[in-house]
Amino acid sequence: MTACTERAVEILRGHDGERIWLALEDYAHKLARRHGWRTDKTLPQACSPGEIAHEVIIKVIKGDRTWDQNKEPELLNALKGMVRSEIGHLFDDYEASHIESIDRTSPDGSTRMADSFSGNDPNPEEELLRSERVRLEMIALDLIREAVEGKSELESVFLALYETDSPQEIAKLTGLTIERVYSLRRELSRAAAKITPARVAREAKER
Amino acid sequence: MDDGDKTIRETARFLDNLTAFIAGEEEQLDEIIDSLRTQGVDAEESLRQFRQALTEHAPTWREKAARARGLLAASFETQTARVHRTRSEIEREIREIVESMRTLGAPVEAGAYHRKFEEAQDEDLESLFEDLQFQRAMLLKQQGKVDSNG
Repeated sequence: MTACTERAVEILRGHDGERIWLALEDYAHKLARRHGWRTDKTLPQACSPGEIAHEVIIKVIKGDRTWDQNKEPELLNALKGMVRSEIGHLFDDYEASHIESIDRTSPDGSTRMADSFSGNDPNPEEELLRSERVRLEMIALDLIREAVEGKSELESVFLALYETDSPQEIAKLTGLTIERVYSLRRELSRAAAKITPARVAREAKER
Repeated sequence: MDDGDKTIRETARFLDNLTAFIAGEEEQLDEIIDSLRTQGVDAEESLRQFRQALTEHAPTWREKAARARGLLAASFETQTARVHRTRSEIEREIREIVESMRTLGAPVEAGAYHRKFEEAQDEDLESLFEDLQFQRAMLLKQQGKVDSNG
């Protein structure tokens, strides 16, 4: 067992271990939801965000994945990076697999192949997929806007989020105390949890 | 960049910022549990899996010792079962010998021991088995002599 693996096990067995485990699972859910707002899937390949988070921790304590403490001194941050990478790969694979063959029959009967399209431009399927993703993201944003509407403090945090993700920066931009920003973060988190990828997809069909 | 692209980029950035903001690091345990609950996750069940993962993949010396003890106990139980099987086999063979001796018309003096199977030690049982085997052999030998003289 390497020193970093031993240290990871020591931290996980310590007073903060349970918080780290649950925080990572919570993070995986939120991150998967963010991807889901673009793809209408919570996670492809029948994976659950919790399973991804748990697998990452198990790999670290078994020494199958290495936590480089010099690069990232905080274990939770390092684990979040690994979860981000795992979930990112899953969605990349999923999105890539949903681009169908670009072969097309031209009006003259000849077949248009990949070479028929210019190298840098997206092909029609990529363009369609992209516009669908954009539409889903915009609907997700609309639903979040609707959830904060009429709540002035939440509205100001909502606007600040166009600029930054830092609670300190948000406090500066809105004039709210940092404690109030943390409290509003909880409220916003609960609102966002209700905006599931399935709900966004449903809205997309209805609008 | 046209207005459409700008809106698209701003939307994506907003959603990224929102996700990073609500998945912040300063959360306390109760906040995390609350957040998981809103997402339909049972924190207690998750923590049970956490403890199981630690025990399984990174056991402490106490857990290792407990596991070794468990394996030893299981192995002992297997051994005991094997001894019991052997014992039951011996009992069956004793019954067969007693039965065959009765068929030969010989009084079975070992019957008293036989009735006390439950109380007999493994060694006593094996000893009784050997005695009975010897008695039956003697009986068969005697009968053989009678038959050849008659």
